[in-house]
Amino acid sequence: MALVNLPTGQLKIDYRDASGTKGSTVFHFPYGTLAAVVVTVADVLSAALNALTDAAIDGYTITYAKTEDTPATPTAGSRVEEKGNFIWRTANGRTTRFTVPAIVDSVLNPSGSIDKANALVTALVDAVIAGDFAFASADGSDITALLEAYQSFRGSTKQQLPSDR
Amino acid sequence: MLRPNATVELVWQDETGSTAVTSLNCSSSLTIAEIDADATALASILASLTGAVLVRQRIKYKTAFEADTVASGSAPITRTGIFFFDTGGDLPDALISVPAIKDEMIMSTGTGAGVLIDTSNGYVSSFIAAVIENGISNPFADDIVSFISAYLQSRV
Repeated sequence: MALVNLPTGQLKIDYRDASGTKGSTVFHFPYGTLAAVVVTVADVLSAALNALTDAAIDGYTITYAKTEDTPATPTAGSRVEEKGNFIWRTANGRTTRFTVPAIVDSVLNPSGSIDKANALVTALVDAVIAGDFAFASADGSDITALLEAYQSFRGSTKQQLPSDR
Repeated sequence: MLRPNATVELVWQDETGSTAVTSLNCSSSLTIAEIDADATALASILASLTGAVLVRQRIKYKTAFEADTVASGSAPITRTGIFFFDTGGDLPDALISVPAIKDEMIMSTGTGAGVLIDTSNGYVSSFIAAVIENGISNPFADDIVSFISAYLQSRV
């Protein structure tokens, strides 16, 4: 049971034609190629493509993917629609968030908020805040504290969220 | 221009087979190996918080979209140039599609008129050279070594 990388990474260049319809060109490169190298190549290929196409080039995405070769068995009754929402305070005073699909019931309070004192949750908080992880907000600001944590379902309205979240 | 943040996507699958993503940000100045190590460590912590199982991981570097770029002509996205490349020996060939190919890249005379892409066009030959000389491969990591053919195709 392990995440195994695909043989190649993918460079996807995005276009938009005069009608606004979108399209793309996909290139592959050996998985071991450094992203910095691919960025350089992407700039070369974008310039070459720009001369061939009537569409505007909007940008590109470089993706490195891994797939689990022998997935474990999900817990009976697990549903990815049942989200654990973790909202974090960042060093620049803003917030960032991520969700954990199919959040386990054992970390939930009766209201639907997540028990911040639960050992599994404190382990996550310690790892995200005090650990050496590189994760940050989209603007690069460090994550400094857990602000809110609660369960929600796809389609939950704000009124349905737990008040003590 | 590369965005300052790279994105890590952890894909989880539940009992029904449905999938959902935990999406995280980190600096795009980090290498794949550095991001991969953190993603693996965090996934092992998240695994105890979810009834779903991790089935896939994606690390993405994206460029910021260029403002006010406009199409230079009227060719629709579906008017596609299909380029075939050889990877040597009996290895699978590689295919690269170029949407909204310009009319002037298509041969206007001879047996391939209106269909074949004109490889004597300087822009076409520059693109072909860029593909061959920059480590591009087929999806199985077999390096592209030479150009085979290119023609116009409508891809709806």
